[in-house]
Amino acid sequence: MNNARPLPLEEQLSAFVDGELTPEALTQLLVELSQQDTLREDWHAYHVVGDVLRSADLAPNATEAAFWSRLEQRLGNEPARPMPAPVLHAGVRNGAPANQRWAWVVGAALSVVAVTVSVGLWQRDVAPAGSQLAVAVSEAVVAAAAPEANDVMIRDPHLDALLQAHQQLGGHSAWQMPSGFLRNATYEEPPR
Amino acid sequence: MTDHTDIAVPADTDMVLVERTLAGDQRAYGLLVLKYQRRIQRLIGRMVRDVDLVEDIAQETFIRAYRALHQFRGDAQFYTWLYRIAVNTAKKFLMDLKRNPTVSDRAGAFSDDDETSAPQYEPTTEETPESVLAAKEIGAVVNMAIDALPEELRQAVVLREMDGLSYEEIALAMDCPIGTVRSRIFRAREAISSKIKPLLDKQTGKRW
Repeated sequence: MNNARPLPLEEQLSAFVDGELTPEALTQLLVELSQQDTLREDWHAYHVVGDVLRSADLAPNATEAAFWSRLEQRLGNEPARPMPAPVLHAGVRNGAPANQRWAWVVGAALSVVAVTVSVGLWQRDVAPAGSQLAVAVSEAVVAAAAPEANDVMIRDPHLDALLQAHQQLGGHSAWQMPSGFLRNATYEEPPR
Repeated sequence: MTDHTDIAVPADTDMVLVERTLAGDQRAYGLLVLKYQRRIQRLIGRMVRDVDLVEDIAQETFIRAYRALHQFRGDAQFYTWLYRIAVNTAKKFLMDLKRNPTVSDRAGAFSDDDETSAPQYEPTTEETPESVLAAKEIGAVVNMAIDALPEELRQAVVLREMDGLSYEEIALAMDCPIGTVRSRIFRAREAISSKIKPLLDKQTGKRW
């Protein structure tokens, strides 16, 4: 488009109706369109002209009178920016896709194995070898089923050893409450 | 007159307005409504006879379209997208009507969703002879105004509006610069608009 001379707004609007306006001119026109009612009337009239030329039964009818004002009221109750509706994926109703189900199954199985092995290692020194696994599993089940009732804490001996070794570097035991600067308090009985 | 309603118009105008609306400019959506409300109402009017219900369904169509606007990607023309929403809204309404026929005995005309099918037009009680006459008057004035245009203006606007040619194609057909095409189409529209604006104001009142 030749932009040697600035086009009248109405001519820009006519070009916009046809999708033939440059992006530079469009930006300004849209601002004017949102502010000038006469441009909106022109927009309406241009489209009525086009509609009637294409089809006689597209002439505005009586119901058009209140249509926009009524719709404008309803739009006033809508958010200024159209909100995305919550999307319910098709897969939700039938569960996750097959590969995701497998991931959950494998993850759950690995978790059970890890807990079982940990408890088993911890129980190795206190239970007969033959019954270690059974004890470990029963302990784990009890701990999982009634953790508050039995107050069973599942501890990893390797982790305990590691924490014990690093305790020398820290200011306090990892299992103790921090005591700040006061480590020990002694009382010396005065000599008699 | 031949119905050229489905001639493709450049979609980028609609896309610009959609993007403006999504950015929070509801008046941009109003421009889309002004552009398409007649086509949508005619489409629904061929499915539902009661003119009050036609307007209700058209309103619902534009509200639904507004809410779903973020889903419009511009893969199809905006009107195609809007058309489907209108048809689905009207179908749902007709189904609800079958379940609860007491809502309206005269609402359902037929549930043909083909816009090109022959309209079974019957004036309703709400559509007064005056309003029908006013619509016919606007049509007659447009046609008279077209006939009164200078040849180059009439040819340009007819090639654009009825044959759907781009400015570039019209420039080739009329052997003139694109700027001249733009100017001729604008002047033709202005000439016709000046004739119908008093009728639109009388019919619709000042709405904004």
